[in-house]
Amino acid sequence: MGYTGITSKILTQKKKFQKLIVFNLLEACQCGICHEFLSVPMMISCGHNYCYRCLKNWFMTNVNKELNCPNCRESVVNEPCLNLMIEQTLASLFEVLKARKKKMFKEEKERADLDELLRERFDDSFYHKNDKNQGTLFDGIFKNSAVAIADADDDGIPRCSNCHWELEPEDMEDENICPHCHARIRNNASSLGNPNSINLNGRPTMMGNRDDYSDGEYDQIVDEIRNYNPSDVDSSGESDSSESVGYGHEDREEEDENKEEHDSDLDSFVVDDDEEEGAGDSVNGAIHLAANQGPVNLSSEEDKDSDFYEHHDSDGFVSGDSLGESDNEAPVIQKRPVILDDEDDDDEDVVSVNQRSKRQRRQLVLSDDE
Amino acid sequence: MVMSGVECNFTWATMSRLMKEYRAIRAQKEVALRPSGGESGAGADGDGEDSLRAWTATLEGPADSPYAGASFALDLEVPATYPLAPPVARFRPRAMPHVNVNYETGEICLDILKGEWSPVYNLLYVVQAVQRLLREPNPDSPLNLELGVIMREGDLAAYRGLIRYYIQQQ
Repeated sequence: MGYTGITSKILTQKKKFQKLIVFNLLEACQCGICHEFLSVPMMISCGHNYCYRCLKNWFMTNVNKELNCPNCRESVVNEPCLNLMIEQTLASLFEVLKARKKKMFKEEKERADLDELLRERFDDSFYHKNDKNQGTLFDGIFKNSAVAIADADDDGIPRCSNCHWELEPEDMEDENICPHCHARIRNNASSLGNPNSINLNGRPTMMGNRDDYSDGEYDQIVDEIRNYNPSDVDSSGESDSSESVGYGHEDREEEDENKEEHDSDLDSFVVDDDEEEGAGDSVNGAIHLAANQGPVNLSSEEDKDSDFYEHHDSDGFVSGDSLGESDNEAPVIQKRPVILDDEDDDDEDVVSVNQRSKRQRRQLVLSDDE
Repeated sequence: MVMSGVECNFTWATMSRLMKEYRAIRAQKEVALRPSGGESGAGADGDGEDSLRAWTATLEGPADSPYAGASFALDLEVPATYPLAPPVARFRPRAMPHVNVNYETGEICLDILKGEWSPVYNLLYVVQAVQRLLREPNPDSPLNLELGVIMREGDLAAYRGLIRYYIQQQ
């Protein structure tokens, strides 16, 4: 009983059950902000979807605050992306509505309302395309803002990913803006600075309350995270499982102690002479690059260097740039479904939906209610 | 009451959402939340835009609280940028003795009405949150210092007595 079996079972059920399923599916396509059908649905990393226009407006109100999901309040660190699946589902829904307009909407006002809605949806999609082409999605907020990062090698102090300035929780109370470079901070720096939570980019992550763990267990986990050394893991292996599970700290306790001493002397801003001598050429390049980096220039250099920073994290230097990537998305090729209406047959409307490619063309038969 | 002749600057999106909320609120019976202008003011077809700007809810004091037996009017004012900005909710002046309510003005200290607002909340949710506040006052952010101090001292008899006294004064 897979996709085919269940689908044909549903299609032969009573109207009542079918209606329930349709109702639930339609409700899932509603935007939590405007309570309308999602128009250019954008998905946040937490999985919640909103209209592009609604989400942009939400991000642009309270410009001094962090960006969060209206539903679950998770910080929006990465730029939301277009949810093509919902977009195409709704596009085909509205194509069907258009094709059956005369039958479904008897009153003139209802038809005018549908036309108005379709016009709005067209405007929204034009608005989104325009922003995208000009590189100003969400008013460029994901290019002009920064992220707070806490690095265990740096005693877990939250820093601005843009200028590495220390983000003191007291400074961030009124406005979530870096006091040094004035970039808006997308996530909540004070929750990062909280000793009860440690969040590291590309490393084992733990957000949680001490009370959720038994005595000693919490400290043990924190120790493990602090002693985690990315260079010990196969540097080419990107698999998450090896990063989050494969670290036993007991074997390298001595080594780590030495390292920690060394690291404590090394501030993120200061390039130690010894460090420079000991490190290879490529590392030198990275340090100079970081030192020369201007305050508001995230997007240009990060594309080629973000990988580099991630694999050379062990030098005790805060590699904030790797968090801010948003530009290396491949352009999305979007094919809107094409609906071909059959000749006006009163018993059934045969509508062929061209969803992705011609190979996947299938016939959708809608039986008439009357 | 909303003053007539005030220019309405609700956008289409705000108005459309308010109309949906209006229908949903009318369909349920649990919370008495109505446009302030009354049923007649809010035209069924939504042509009376101003009438959805101000709402009034009637809160019954929870049975297990000092507010039992009394009822309170809660006024909601919907801003032009709703739902991106929260509605302004307040009790009538000198009508609500509560730790998180300014007695003189009726102003309410509730996180979701300020920084913690999210556009997925709606008017009904706000009323329910204020109703919960009646049962669970929060002494950590008092607007009524008198009651806040008594509550922190843990003098429950004085706390209940003072609230009953205020309510009977009306």
